[in-house]
Amino acid sequence: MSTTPVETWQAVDGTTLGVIYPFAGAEGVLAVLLLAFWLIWHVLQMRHEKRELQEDVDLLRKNGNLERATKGDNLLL
Amino acid sequence: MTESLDALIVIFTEFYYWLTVVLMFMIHVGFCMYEVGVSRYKNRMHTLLKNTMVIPLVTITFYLFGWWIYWAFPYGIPGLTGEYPEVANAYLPWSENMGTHMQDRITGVFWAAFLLFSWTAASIVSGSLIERVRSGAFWMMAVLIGSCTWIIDAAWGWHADGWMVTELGYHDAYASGVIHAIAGGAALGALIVLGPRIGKFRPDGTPRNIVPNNPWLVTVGLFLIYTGFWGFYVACNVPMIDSDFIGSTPEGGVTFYTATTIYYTPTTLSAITFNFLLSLSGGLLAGYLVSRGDAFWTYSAGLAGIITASAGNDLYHPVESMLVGAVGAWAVYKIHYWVERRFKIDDAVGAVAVHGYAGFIGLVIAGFLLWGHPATAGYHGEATPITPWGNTIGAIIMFFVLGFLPMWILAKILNALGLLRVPREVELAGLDISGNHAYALDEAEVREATVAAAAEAKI
Repeated sequence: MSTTPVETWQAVDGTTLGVIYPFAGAEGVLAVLLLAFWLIWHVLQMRHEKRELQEDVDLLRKNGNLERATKGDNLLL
Repeated sequence: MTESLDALIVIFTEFYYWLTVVLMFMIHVGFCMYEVGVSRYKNRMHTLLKNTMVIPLVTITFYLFGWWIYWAFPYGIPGLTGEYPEVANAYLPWSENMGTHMQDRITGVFWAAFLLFSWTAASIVSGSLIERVRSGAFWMMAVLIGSCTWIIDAAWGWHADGWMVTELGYHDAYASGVIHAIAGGAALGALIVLGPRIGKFRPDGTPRNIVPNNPWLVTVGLFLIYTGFWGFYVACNVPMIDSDFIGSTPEGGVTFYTATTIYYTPTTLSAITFNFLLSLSGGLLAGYLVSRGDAFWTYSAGLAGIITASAGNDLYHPVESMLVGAVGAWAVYKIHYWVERRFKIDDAVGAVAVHGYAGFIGLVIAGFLLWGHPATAGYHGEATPITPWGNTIGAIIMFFVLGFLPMWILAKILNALGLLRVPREVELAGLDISGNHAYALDEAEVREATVAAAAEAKI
């Protein structure tokens, strides 16, 4: 019993051997997983970026920080 | 070597390994840049030289005994837990095979490919100890892991006849364990004894972030490590071999030609090309999210993604490889900060996490995903299957038994002798203080001479 189509490397017919990855036959499911991973990543990244930019704006609007930052001072109050 | 096909295979293989060595050199360049970038300005030269001198020290010791260990130890400890293979005599430093030899074109390039792995193992430890370890102490550690412990683990778990492969079904095609878990474990063993850098932790025990002096050099260094990692992957394969040699041709059947892993189990270069890139991508994407876009951790997570998937990257489907890489990258980030807060471990570059935890996790995952696939080559007869318990025991041997323990003992000895850590005053002033002081004196002298010459010219 193996997760791949191979259980031994002894006496293998090299002319007919094809895929040897685990869970062969599940390529469609794996492609859907890849698609989902990719799309979810964009959603999470954009949410995070939106939150981070809002935090930046809030900080820059306080205590003259915007002027300080534009002069190159990164130590904001 | 008179048959043209044999000659072609041998010369192709010779050239193939030679190229991997050139590519893998970039790993060391990358590690040096990375460490220098991470270190503070006052420690740069010391940090650079500490890692650069790994090259000659590990090279000569690997020539003296490292390469022999690989061939002498596959069945255990020779004379104690296993027989001594006579073939190992060919790799003693006084053997004719360890020089230019028209009947042996492979030993030199194969030795060098393994040697570059040795540098990498030592380099991984190097980064975590920066800014407070004595160079002499680190160089002993480098020889311990680079020319002793890692090559013992390679003989046991990264050799077609190694006992961990034939008895446990241990599978680690691209060295999640045999390089990364052991080096991460070794770094942890050294760090526990060495202690954190001055100022790393606040009085209440929470960690401070010691900012790199040059983030750009850090990222370029990590890019170079990625690039060299290609060579590392390629060097882990046997590029071309016939099925008769590996015992895979059926009786009366057709001989076929294939690339194999180090275990003489068939794979393809396409497999590692797909899987290297997908596991890198999975690591980068997960690392970006979990670190909230932190550049240092995003780059490191790319590396962690590859390392986590490496044990099974000869076989995984690319999407499996990507998901494994993503899981590994996410996990090591979380574990790194948990260990830092809980145990006050100051790992300056996250090496224990990126290499050690990722390698360990990757081995365990490979045990499950590749469960039942043969770990052993066809010529062994009945196959030893890969299993979750075989790979987990292997991960423990790599990380704790051969990684953590020997390095912790060496660090303890060095510490007891007062040879492990630089004096407190030097750490505060910076490890480059003597060099910087000499430069300052030279500059002052030249300045005075220039002023005197200018005054004389006026006269």
